[in-house]
Amino acid sequence: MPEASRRVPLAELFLVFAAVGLTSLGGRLAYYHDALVAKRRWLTDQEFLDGSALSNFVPGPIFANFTVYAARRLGGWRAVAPGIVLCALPGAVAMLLLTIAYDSGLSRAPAVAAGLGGLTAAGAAFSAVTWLRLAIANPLGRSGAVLATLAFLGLGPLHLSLIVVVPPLALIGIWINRPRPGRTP
Amino acid sequence: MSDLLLIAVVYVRIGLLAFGGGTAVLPEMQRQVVLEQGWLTEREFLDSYALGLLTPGPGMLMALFAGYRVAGLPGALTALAALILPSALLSAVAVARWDALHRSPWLATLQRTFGPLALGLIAAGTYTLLTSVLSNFLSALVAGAGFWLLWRWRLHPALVILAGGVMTGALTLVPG
Repeated sequence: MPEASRRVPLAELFLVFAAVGLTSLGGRLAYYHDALVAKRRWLTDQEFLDGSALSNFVPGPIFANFTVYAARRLGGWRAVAPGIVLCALPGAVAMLLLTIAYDSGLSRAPAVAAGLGGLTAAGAAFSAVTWLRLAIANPLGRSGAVLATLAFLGLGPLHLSLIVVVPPLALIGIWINRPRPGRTP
Repeated sequence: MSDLLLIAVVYVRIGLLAFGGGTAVLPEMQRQVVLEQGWLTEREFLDSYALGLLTPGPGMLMALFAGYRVAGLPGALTALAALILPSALLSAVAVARWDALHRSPWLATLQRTFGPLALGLIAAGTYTLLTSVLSNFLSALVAGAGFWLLWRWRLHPALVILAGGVMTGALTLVPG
């Protein structure tokens, strides 16, 4: 990647990372699109899509992966570590406080216990809708459908370990989809 | 193996194999923290997922819950670092080589491989949640209503999730 096409003053950039880290309930990349593309035009739509693609094929939390991309692009390498801290810290502090409250006996209150069940149920609905939308927007070919189905069966109903399922399927997928002469990318 | 080292090993492994974000790692997290390590009960695991829905920032912050349970604050921080730092390092490598990768035919290979894998992992995460949720009538009702509101009316997910929690909790306060 070339040096960032438009360097943003670091203080301003860090303020935006902190604001996104503080408000991005659910950690969706849409918050970054709103902050960096729609409101400030610091990234173009294409740059955002590139970052989104990169964040998705690198393992780990997509939100943090995108932070690395955006921080590097807009502030250079020196912005990356503070960017990650700023995007993750508010959520981490919130999670710690919630955990401490949970452990203090709050979870034994019937309303809290039921409320957590309701959150989980609504979260499950959100996951199902997200999956369905992704599946419709990204129709899979035959080999893609086989990879997706095997990953689902292995991790879902069969309760196998990620390490048993993902590396072999990734290697098979890379071999099946390897660049070959005459094949359009 | 010390507790902190074990937390680090468990979460580095999860973070480095998690394609598709937070939902995609749920089955492995459940397997590790409930079945293999016994750090949490099934109920506590689902509650940690629910608490994670209330926090901003990266998904997977629910990992702090188990880390804190096992080794207090150092355990929580170890879980956070183990999940985020290795993949952030990989992201930095990918960002540094993005131009070369962007022009390479191997980018399409990676996308055609990890896209479907991520879709399968997200389906497995959703399956893990749904199998727990659908065993209880009220939870199943909330999940069904949430699905309809998100799919048909495209309401903001945070709004639907919070409403699901608040309304289910409030029902227990209704007398009788």
